Amino acid sequence: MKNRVAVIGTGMVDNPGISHPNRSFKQLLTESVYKAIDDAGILATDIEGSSFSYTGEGEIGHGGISATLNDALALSPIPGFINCSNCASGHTAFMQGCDMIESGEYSVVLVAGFEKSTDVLPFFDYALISSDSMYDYNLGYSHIDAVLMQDEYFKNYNISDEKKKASLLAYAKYARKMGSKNPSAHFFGHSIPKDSQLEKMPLFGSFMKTGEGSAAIILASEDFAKTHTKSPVFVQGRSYITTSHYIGHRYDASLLNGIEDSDLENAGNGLPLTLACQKAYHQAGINASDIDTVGVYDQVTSEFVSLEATGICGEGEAPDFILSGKGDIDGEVPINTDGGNIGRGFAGGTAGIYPLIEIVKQLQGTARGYQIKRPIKYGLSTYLGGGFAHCVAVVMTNE
Amino acid sequence: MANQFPEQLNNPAVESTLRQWHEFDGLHRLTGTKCTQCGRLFFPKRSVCTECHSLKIEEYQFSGNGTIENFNFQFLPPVKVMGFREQLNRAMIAVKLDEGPTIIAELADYLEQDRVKKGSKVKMVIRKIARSGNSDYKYAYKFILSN
Repeated sequence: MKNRVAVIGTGMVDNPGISHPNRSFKQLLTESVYKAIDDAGILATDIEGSSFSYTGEGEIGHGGISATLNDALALSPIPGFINCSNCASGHTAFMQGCDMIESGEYSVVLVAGFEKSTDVLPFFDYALISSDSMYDYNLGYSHIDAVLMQDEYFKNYNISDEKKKASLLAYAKYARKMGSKNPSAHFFGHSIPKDSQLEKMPLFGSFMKTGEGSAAIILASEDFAKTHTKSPVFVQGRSYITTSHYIGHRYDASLLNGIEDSDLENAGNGLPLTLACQKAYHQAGINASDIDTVGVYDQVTSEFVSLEATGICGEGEAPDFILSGKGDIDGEVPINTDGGNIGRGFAGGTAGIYPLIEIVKQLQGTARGYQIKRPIKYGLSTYLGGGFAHCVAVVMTNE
Repeated sequence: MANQFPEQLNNPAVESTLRQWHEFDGLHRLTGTKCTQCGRLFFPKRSVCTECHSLKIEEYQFSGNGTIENFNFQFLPPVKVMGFREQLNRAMIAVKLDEGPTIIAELADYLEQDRVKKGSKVKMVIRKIARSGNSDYKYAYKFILSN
């Protein structure tokens, strides 16, 4: 029987929406990891293995970096594994950490990531080559330029320009509101902008705030968790789906093994994430209607497509879901309660760990910003990498 | 130097002479691959079939004719793509090739935006793209409206 996986500690560097030029990646990582160790109430020597995430070797100049990271954290000689899945790297590191605990080989595992884009000159180009490169980036097309996908969504569901503007603006405002009360967020302490201000911003303010940071989670087996923490959060289901970096391939679902339904007729469809969510729900023994709070990758229309992929709202209904307030902190299923990529900030190589921590905090009732007031039981964290090339869904529970 | 000629900044992740050579016929002639077992066609090239997982793959020459499935006009790049910042505006299209696969490409010479729409027929042409690290221009396929 597999070990049940528990989250027993979390830590992060605040404000992942700006650069931290005065600190090295080792310093950022050390801060988040030792906060997590402290939060878990364990010793660094209790950690038996680590699973790291970062954007990739082109970012920081280190190849095979896990030994350097373990050494910097004074964790050597434990094994260290690396995950590079574009923006979803943090989530895939978490997946691997869970696998390590479940295997029974480890009782305590560190999941940690960092983003340090200002260290290396060509970083930005490196990050943008989150693609198949020769047939897209080489031809002048980056995954971040995948506006084709964004447009497809609005076209397919006949969403008017007015509703597009209203829903993007409403989400941008909500994300800033959530961030304004969260001390870890970029917009902490900021006033919430007026509609007239957001209207002047690109995409009505619905664009992530990129920066640097680090975040860490301590995972443990259920037995270890019971003896070391009072409020563990358990990983109930999880799934990781890969498709293709090449956008052209998203137009053909038959390129995915075992997918008979050609539901993926267009790039605006979040089928890969739908598959990840369905598998995670199945593992957890729940349905979309059981989810009490959700984390989605918010960037232009990604939050709409992701929200629909989770099954929390129907296809083409996400803009209405946002506009009706169903995703607000006191709504049916609060979304991105820490502010998300837009309100909290986005630090690529570790970005996925921040929202996982927020779900943990909400389930524990210890959110640093807005806390969901009603009792909740299940939280879902989803994340994307390379524009739906990597899709991860994690269901957690406090029971 | 770098500031003076930003487009000439070398980008080792994509600019390898050998890599360009490997992909030469794909980038210049729209050569893809075909599974000899089940007949499925691929672009860009694959070495294993996604349908039957056969490794018996041969090169396949696409006609270069297709239909626009989706399009977008880029007037301001949200982010810089090396060597392409000066080439705005650009029309990016998803093309369903007559033979099946859908690919991403740039639409050249469209003159009027109204003519660019879903369902329009397009054909492949070869055009100059960005400059490489050694200052030579690179060439690759683009598409133009066929009528």
